Amino acid sequence: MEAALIFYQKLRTLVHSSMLRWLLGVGCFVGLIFIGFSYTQGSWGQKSLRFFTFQDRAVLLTVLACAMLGMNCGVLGSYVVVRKIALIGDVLSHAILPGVALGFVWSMSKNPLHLFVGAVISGGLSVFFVHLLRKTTRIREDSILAIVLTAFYAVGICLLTWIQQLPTSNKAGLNTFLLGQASAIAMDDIMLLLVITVLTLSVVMFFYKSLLVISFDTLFAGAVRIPVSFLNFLFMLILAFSIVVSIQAVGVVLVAGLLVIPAATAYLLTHRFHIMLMVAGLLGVVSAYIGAYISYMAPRLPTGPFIIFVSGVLFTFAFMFNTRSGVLTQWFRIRRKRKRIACENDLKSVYKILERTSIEDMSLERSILCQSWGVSGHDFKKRINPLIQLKWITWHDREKKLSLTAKGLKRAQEIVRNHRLWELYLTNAMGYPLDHVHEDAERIEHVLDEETILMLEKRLNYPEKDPHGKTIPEPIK
Amino acid sequence: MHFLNMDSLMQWWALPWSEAYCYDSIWIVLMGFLVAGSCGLIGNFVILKRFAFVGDAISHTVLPGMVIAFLITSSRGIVPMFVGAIVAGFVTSLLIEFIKNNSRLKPDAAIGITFTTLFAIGVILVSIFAEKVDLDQDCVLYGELAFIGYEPFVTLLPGVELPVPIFRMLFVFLATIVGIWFFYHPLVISTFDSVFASIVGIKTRFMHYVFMVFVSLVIVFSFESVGAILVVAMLVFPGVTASFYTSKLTVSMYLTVVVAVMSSVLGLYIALWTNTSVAASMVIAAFVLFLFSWVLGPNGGIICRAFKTAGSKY
Repeated sequence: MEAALIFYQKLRTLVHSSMLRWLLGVGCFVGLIFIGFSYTQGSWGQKSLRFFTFQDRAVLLTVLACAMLGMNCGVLGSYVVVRKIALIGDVLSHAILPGVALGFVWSMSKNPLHLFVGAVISGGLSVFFVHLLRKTTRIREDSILAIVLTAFYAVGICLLTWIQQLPTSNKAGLNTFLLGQASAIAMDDIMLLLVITVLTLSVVMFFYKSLLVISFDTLFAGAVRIPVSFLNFLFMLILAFSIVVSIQAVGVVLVAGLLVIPAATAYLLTHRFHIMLMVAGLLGVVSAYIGAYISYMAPRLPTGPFIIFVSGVLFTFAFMFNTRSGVLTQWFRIRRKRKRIACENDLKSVYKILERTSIEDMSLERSILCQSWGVSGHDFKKRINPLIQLKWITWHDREKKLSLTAKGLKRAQEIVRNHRLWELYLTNAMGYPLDHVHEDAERIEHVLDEETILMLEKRLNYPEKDPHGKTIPEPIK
Repeated sequence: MHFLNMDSLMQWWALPWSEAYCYDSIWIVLMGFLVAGSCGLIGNFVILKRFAFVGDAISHTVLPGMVIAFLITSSRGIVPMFVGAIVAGFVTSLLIEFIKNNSRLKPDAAIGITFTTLFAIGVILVSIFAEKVDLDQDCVLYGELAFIGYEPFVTLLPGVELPVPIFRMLFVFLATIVGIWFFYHPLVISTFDSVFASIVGIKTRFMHYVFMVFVSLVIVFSFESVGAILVVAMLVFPGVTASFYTSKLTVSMYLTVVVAVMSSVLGLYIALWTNTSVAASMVIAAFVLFLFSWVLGPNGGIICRAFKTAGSKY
């Protein structure tokens, strides 16, 4: 019974966590659109249906490949992003070009294995070079990466232009490495991809803890005898593997995006690394899937750029709307707070007038308030509307009067109490001069909570008057 | 390749200047020098500000900028193309800043996200409007340095005629020199210590934007001749190579120009010997110069360091 309760609570917190809510939202949105398209009449819907039921073998292959790529890059990208080496993907993807060219020269054909071996060797060489430059010079990190990237890429382009002049027939298609072509993925590539995906996942699962420690604190990892250089080497190796196989689908430039964007999106959505890994992998799969779908619907359009575009859109959503630090979320939050503070200030002014005139039935004529706020009748209505919505006041249309509700009275008393207590605290305990305390109290009165108030009261020995001689109200419980 | 079989060994260095190649060679070297020079000069600051990959990002987002400019104005005139490209470059740097300032993401991730997404949008637009836009893919990747002598000519002074791209690049080169000369002190101070700069009354944000505009300008104009990736090489290599000889920024600037000349001449030789892309060869030449300085440079080169550590032992 207790276990069930704990499970339920865990489930509840999970659903309440921002990340999962966000994912559910996006998932439902995307799903609805797809279902909508699939069931509409006409060629569009039928074509979609064909895509989602994998009626074409080619579609199945492409989708499978893209999904594996997405997952692979998402998972590895998580490490890359938290280790602040996001651009290593860009470097590796450009640096493998000479290896690909030489791999082609090796057998004078596009043998995937030869290209693969060449690419991995050249990628490894570039990482070694970065390491060497980092050790022996004072050049800044990003300059080192740029040097290695451009130097290897230039060699690669020279080799490619040289190959173009060779008298052999089957060199066509080597250019697809630059922009990628997902539909050209064959069964051989899929097998290679499968092997590498399994390899990646097993390395990540097997060395999960060690890799995590290395990513966040290399020195500590060395101190607790984690084989840092071996694991770094292993990581770079599988990263190179994944990038080499991804290039076929998305091209040299966009591999960096496939690596960074889903992982960065996940990074914005969660603070837990294992969740980030899963979310990044999932986002990679989702973007790859949607990208493949779009390019299936419009065969002229390339797959790779759409995969990146979709993950870029997902990132934008996360960047704008994630509940912790989303740009728009924060903007809305600030706006809401401003509005609430404006309402509370209005309520306070109503209360103060009532306090001054000591009217018993807690009601106030419109004209008095209009005069106090300095507004016309029309603006007055606008200003009290939010207060009515909050059920702080009620408006009597016939008598042109408003009256505080019990709830409104309580909140007003709380605010005024907060204000006066804080003024008292500043003058008595902090030694502020009397004419300096009002502005400060004016701001903090909206955010003080019950506990702080209790402490303040205790500290000030349960006062009854504020430093200006006004009574500190005691809100009704 | 053909050239190695020549009977006289003395001829190999004279080959670019022989009658068959002379005409092309002069323009190629001049253009290579102008590109490497302007990129290198502004590159000194790019290196110091750790902006190498912002440059990389800008050189990629030039593509969507050009495509969008074309779709809006539906002309392939030089003005809309360049305006689109420069605006795209500037927008890229703003976006990177925006992502960096408004989330937990580190600058490198922000760069990676921005430029790949924008580049993807560019590629998508190109393929959607494929029949209307005919952007030469090879031109984007490798540049058109080899055919610079066959562009239309413009008269600079009576009797002095230049191909139009060289004329433009000359203008950019001079603008870079004048810009750096004009903004030298505020730029240097805000590069090294932005807090101090704002204390002494330099508008650091304004300087940053001026700098970004200059970087976009140089990248966009160089992009046309050396291609997307190799612009980044030209931004980084001369400055880094120069840093192996001096720690002073002013001296480094002069050395940058020297390195630019050397890499453009050497690049031409490499291109002719191996019969490959000129722009890529110039980068390889710059890389060779870099390797040379890395080993032999008096200011932090490997050998120099080895001597220093050996000396400090005794």
